[in-house]
Amino acid sequence: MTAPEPSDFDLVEAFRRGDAGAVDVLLERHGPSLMAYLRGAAANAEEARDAFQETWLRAIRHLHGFRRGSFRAWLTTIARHWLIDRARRRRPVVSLDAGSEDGEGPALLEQLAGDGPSPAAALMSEEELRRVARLVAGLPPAQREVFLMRTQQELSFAEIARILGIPLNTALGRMHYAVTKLRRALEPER
Amino acid sequence: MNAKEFDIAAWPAADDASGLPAAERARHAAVWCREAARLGELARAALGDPPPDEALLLPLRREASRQVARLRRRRGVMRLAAAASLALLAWSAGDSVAERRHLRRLKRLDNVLALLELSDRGPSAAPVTRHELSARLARLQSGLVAEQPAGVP
Repeated sequence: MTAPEPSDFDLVEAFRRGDAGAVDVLLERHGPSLMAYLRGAAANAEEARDAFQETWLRAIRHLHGFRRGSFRAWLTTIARHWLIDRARRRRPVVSLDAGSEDGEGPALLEQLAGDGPSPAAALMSEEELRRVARLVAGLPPAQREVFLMRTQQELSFAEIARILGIPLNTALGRMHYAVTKLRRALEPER
Repeated sequence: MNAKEFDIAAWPAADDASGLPAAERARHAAVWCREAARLGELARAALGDPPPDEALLLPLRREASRQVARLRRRRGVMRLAAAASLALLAWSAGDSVAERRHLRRLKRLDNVLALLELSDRGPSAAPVTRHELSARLARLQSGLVAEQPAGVP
């Protein structure tokens, strides 16, 4: 019989006791989904990488203070605050798809194309992936945020509502609108 | 309510489908859930790869080691402070015991001096027995001596 996977809280406890390797497990467990969330939420690939690193640095520095709740929701909250701070400092605010239209920087689509296909992505055509990424980037920010938190970070709607400080029904509604928009936009392709 | 149930609740909650018959509402919700799952899968494929590279992870591992070392140092300092506090407490407790012992000795000496003073009333005085001395001592200790007239044993 194999030992059960340690919970996030077990890993945080191990870190508090002096096991730096516990962070490796947390990175492996939550790193890819956070990166995916940030690729959708940040202005460009460079900002997504910065956000990833800064989020984890902040998390590691405050890990000893993490007591309860969902580690992933906590991480998402840190990432979101970092992105908000960055957006405040950056004037004017650059939208996700700005790069493709006004040439201000690399667009999400270009970044994705540069990242290379994964086994999962390889099952879909490059064009389809580009289209999905473009459609996600084109969602209104409030809807995109909920959509990404739900689909990339796999947070519950209750957690999303708490992080965003909105009622549960608002979170559900934003998700609904986001899915409806994406579905409608993808319909002609099917 | 788990995440799946939230998904199922999302469609009617957001699209005001509460007026529909239950079966119709469930069918719409199921369609919505399938769509949400499919789009989520597509978005994961579009945004999820590649995973964070080593160049991103290395500084994080270094920071984790630094933080662990910092936590160890802090724990060491706290242990040292606790040990120092304990030593201080023990020393001050020992000191107060010694002081009390010293005061008791002084009091005893004081009592003996008082007794000697009382019995030193000249050659005509009757010899004081041990029993009398003991009784006098008891009275002295209870503060009665001062109130008694001179010469009363």
